[in-house]
Amino acid sequence: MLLKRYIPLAIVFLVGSVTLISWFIPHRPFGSLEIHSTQWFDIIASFAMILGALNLLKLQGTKIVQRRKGWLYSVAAVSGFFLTLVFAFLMKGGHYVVISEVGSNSAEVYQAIGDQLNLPFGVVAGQYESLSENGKTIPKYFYTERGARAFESDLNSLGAMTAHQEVAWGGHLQGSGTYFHWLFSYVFTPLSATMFALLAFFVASASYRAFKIRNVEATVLLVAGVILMIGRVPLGHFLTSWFPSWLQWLHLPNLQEWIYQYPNVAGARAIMIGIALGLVGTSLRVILGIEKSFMGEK
Amino acid sequence: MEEIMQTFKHLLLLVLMLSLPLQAQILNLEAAAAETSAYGDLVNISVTAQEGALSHLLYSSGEEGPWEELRVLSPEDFTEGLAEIGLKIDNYTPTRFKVEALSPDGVLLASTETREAVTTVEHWFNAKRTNMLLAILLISGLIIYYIERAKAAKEIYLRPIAGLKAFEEAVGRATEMGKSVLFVPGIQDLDQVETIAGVIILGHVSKMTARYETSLNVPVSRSLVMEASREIVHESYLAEGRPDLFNPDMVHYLTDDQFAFAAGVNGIMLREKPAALFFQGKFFAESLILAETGNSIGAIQIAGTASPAQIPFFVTACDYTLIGEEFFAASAYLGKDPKLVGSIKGQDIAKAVIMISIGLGVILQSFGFTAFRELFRVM
Repeated sequence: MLLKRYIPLAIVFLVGSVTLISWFIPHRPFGSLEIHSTQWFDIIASFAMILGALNLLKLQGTKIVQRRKGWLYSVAAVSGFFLTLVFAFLMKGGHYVVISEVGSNSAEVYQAIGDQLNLPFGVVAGQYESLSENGKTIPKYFYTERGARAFESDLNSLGAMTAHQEVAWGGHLQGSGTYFHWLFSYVFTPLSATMFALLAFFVASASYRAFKIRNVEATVLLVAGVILMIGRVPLGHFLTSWFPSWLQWLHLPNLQEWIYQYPNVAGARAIMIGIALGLVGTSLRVILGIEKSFMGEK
Repeated sequence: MEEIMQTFKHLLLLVLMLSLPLQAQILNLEAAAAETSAYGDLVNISVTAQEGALSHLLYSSGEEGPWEELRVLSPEDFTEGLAEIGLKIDNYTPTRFKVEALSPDGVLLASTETREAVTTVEHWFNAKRTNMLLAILLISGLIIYYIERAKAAKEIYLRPIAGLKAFEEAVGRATEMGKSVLFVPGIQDLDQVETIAGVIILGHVSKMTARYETSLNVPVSRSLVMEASREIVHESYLAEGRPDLFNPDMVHYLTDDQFAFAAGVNGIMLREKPAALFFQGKFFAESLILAETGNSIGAIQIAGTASPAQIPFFVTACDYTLIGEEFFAASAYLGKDPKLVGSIKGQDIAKAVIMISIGLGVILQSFGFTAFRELFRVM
């Protein structure tokens, strides 16, 4: 009871009330308590991520083993999980070549570099004409060492002095030409963008339903929505630009701005005040230990 | 003689032209201790300088200390010739500031320094936030007062909220159809009050599913939320005397990523076709994706969120939506605990006070009395 009830409640009360009063105390150590608390939370949440990963593997693994309905999706999920782990911790790629001397066949070397970088001869020549003592990195990153070595041997055969290098661990998470970067740019990003793009269709279907004239409220919504949409595009300006000056308040861009700035803001602020009060009330209930059900108590 | 006069005129004109940049170089420098900062050691500096001139900001610790360069102000620092910079200095150390404007070739065009040294001090109370403290004390006091009153009172009236009344109906519908209930407690972690409110509501919904022996599916996007939700669902099943129906995998982790989570939940909806969907917590752009998919499978949907931008999407796509304060009141409403109900009553009274203040403010402001509005200014 002590561990499960009183200590968590005491921690919640202490942290909650101290964080609250620290807002009013610009003095050490209160001033930065909020930042420190957030960092503590992030550290704990990072460790807890292992629990989530294990749960995911357990559930999806069971589905695969038992060949439950849709088990192939689970194969994709588990494969994606392990592939990301492998590309993050075991295979990094990111091989590149550093050139320290161009040699006597400089024109051909510049041409070879230009072919790899898709740059014109003149630009490459300007960039690689004078090289520093440590050489200059050719910013063409290869996923495999073999690719970098092949490029290096091409340059060596033309008389250039080169060295092969690869991006450091950690840098491979953001550097281009790495497996992790490939996975992020060519798998994760397009998939996320696809999901996000679905919103366009969902907005259309939701708007159609919302704008269907069923009652007075829906009609008001339809009229306001149409004014806002038309008033924000050149068509709205074109349609009502001929209005005389005394009717300018009905000019669609002006009308939509009024709807947006006044009735809309008034409604939004009313909701915001309600939310703020709800937040204060819930926080107070949690800090005072009146609301304990989030800890699994009645 | 005329030639001499002419030459003199030209020379005068030349001198005037040369001195023009110096005269036109209007510089102004103001520095003052910031009214709100973590340790009181922040100084707000505003520099007015001619566009194109290179401005160097210098400081000197102590009344007679040497000038040291603090930073060069780039054109990006200026908006319409004014740069506002926040700088941290040592507390209790008088610090002077100076700004020098140099031409691109390094010639000093103008220089100005603060009239007095700025000294920052750590305070134990930020007096500028007194109004906020009073507001918190007032609201908290009202809530605590009504909690105490609720303990003694037999019953406190709460206005009916359609969305909350529909909770039992939705779970009942799922039971009748022999389908599952899907509950999504938002996509944020437990450091958000909305997530805590969502998890609390999950406790009540899981009691209903335990009572009706309906299967419950809770996909989550944060590990900590998974642990807390599991605990609360377990307690609910115990409280209803049905621990045999509880399975820890009812609450399961999908992913932290927003759209991957939306894709995962959509997949569950389309494969399992749950009859009742609850979206209770903090949501962002995925709200409409989830709600529209739920709508397409014909499930009864009840959403609750405090994210103002997502409320219209939920209102459009869901059968019931708990808006703002209703969402936070759900736990009290469903639990019927007098202490929680009392706190909602306190919130309502606080809302009435705010409404009266707004009305009064509008009237006073309309008649030109601005002092009342200033009482509510937040620093």
